[in-house]
Amino acid sequence: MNNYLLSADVGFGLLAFFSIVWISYGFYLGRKANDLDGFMLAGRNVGLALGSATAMATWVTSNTIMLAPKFALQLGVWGMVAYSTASFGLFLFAPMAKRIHQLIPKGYTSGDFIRVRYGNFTWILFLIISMVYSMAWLVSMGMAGGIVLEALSGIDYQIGMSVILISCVVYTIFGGLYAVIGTDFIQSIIILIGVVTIGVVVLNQTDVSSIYQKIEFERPELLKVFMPVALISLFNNMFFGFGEVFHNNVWWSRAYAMRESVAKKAFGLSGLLWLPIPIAAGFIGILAIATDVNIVDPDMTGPLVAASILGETGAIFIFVIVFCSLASSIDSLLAATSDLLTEDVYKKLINPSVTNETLRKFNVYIILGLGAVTWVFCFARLSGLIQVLFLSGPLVASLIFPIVCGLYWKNLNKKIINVAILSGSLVGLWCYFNLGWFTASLASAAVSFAITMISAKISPDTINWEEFKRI
Amino acid sequence: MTSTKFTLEDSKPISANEGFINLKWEGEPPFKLILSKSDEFDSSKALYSGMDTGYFMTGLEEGPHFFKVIGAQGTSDVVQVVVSYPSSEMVIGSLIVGSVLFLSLCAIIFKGNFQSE
Amino acid sequence: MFSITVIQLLIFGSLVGTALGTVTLLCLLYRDTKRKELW
Repeated sequence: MNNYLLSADVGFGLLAFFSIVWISYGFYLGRKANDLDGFMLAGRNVGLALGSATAMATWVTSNTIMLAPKFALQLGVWGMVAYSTASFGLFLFAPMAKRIHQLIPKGYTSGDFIRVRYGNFTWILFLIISMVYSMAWLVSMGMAGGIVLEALSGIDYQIGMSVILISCVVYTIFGGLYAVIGTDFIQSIIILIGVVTIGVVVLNQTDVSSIYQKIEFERPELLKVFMPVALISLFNNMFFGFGEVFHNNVWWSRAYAMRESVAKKAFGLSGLLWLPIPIAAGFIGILAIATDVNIVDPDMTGPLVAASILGETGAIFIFVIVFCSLASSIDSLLAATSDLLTEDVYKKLINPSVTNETLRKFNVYIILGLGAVTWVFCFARLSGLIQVLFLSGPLVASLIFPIVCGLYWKNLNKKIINVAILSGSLVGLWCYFNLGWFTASLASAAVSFAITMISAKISPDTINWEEFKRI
Repeated sequence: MTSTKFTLEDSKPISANEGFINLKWEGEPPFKLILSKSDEFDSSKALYSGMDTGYFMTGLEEGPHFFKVIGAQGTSDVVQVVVSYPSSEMVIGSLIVGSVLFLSLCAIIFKGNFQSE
Repeated sequence: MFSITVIQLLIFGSLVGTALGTVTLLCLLYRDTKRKELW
């Protein structure tokens, strides 16, 4: 492909402009991040506006913009709807965030909760699953960034990917969670306005009835109500989303960072803000059929269609939206995953007597190291790594019920909980390879649910909720 | 000059149980991609004509589908793609399991929050 | 087969929803700034 939708100059200009904006804004916000609570949790007093925006922007990943159009083109109307069910993860996490605040007022990570609730074995199991998932997510986003930038403007993959990663690492180091949440707000406004603008301009140039007729003629299956794979994936996607949100420290650290009175509302609102985005983006994917845009690489469905209808302006919009959605998730993952490594691995496993000042410094090195490891993986550009993200679906889904029941129920047998997580993961992986990806997370959650219920009945261990106050 | 041919790794016939397939080919352009319900290609439909070397076909109904590419240097071998969707039992089963799990999850969370207040 | 009304509802609904979301966030930002409740 030699004809790019944007000239490399425009591409570099946009890349440089936004990198400088994020880094300087992060630097500015970083003045607040003096102590450990400031750096890791933005002072634990984040309000409703910033709280909802950061949760929503983090959940808008490169996949929401890139995968939703592909999903709609593959699975039709149900595909669009199935993707948006991931917003339920945020809805149900809203009441959980409130509970987390009450139970563990001084917590830092999701690992804190698992360790105190279930003991070391479950905690290590949890850390492994969480790290596999987080790294796969981080690497897939870095790779997606490089690929999209190259496809749109011809900027070399390695350069585009490196600039995105480095700018996120730099502002996260300067400003900690303050910088992450502050930039997330601007990024979410850009994403929301961008999605609406593209949708409105596209609708101005076409009309829904002619789109509908064309699809009805060309690919009627996509409009069917009984679309088996899409219907099965409906709950599967939802439970993948539950697994991702309920376990990952990205969300727990947000819950700790928000003011107690705000946490529940903020997550609920972020779900509402997120819900329509995959549908609006998915609609662009379905347009490929109506506008006869030939899709050679399905992963590029969204950008290709938008740019072919809207020309260079459309390509600029896509470029900026993708950059914002990537940055808003990469920064969050860097911050939250480095917190997990700092708190759970370094402080709890290696050096328990460490002071908060040292820990604050150590956290910076961890962010740097995490960025470097991600960069190496992205540089190698192993396409199989994207697969790892989907494979982690059943792994994280096996954690849903152990986490939720652990938050609310006093009596659970700790050993049987380990069985729930392990067998849920294994059955889910088996289903992934033997029945199809669209069954894996649901199967894992179902097995883990059944065994978690058993663990509540067979000689359960009792937890004293006061233990969490000592964290 | 290379002859026109599909570059698909899978052995024939290809199964595409989700109803979509990403076709790739090589050869001398221009190309024309033809789809038919029978290997005789007696009633066929041109899906794409142009210079690209791939096409993402989605929304295939159940049953066999036959594809061929006509390029400047001849016509490719015919590729057979067989679509068989998951059974209705599996669809309904997963919807039931999904609903039960979802409702249980909601019940645990909302009841828990209510009691802890 | 999904009817055209459903498709229209999905498309227009998602765009209106996203637009409303943008306005809501900006209003909340204004409110939180005024009350000094941002952080």
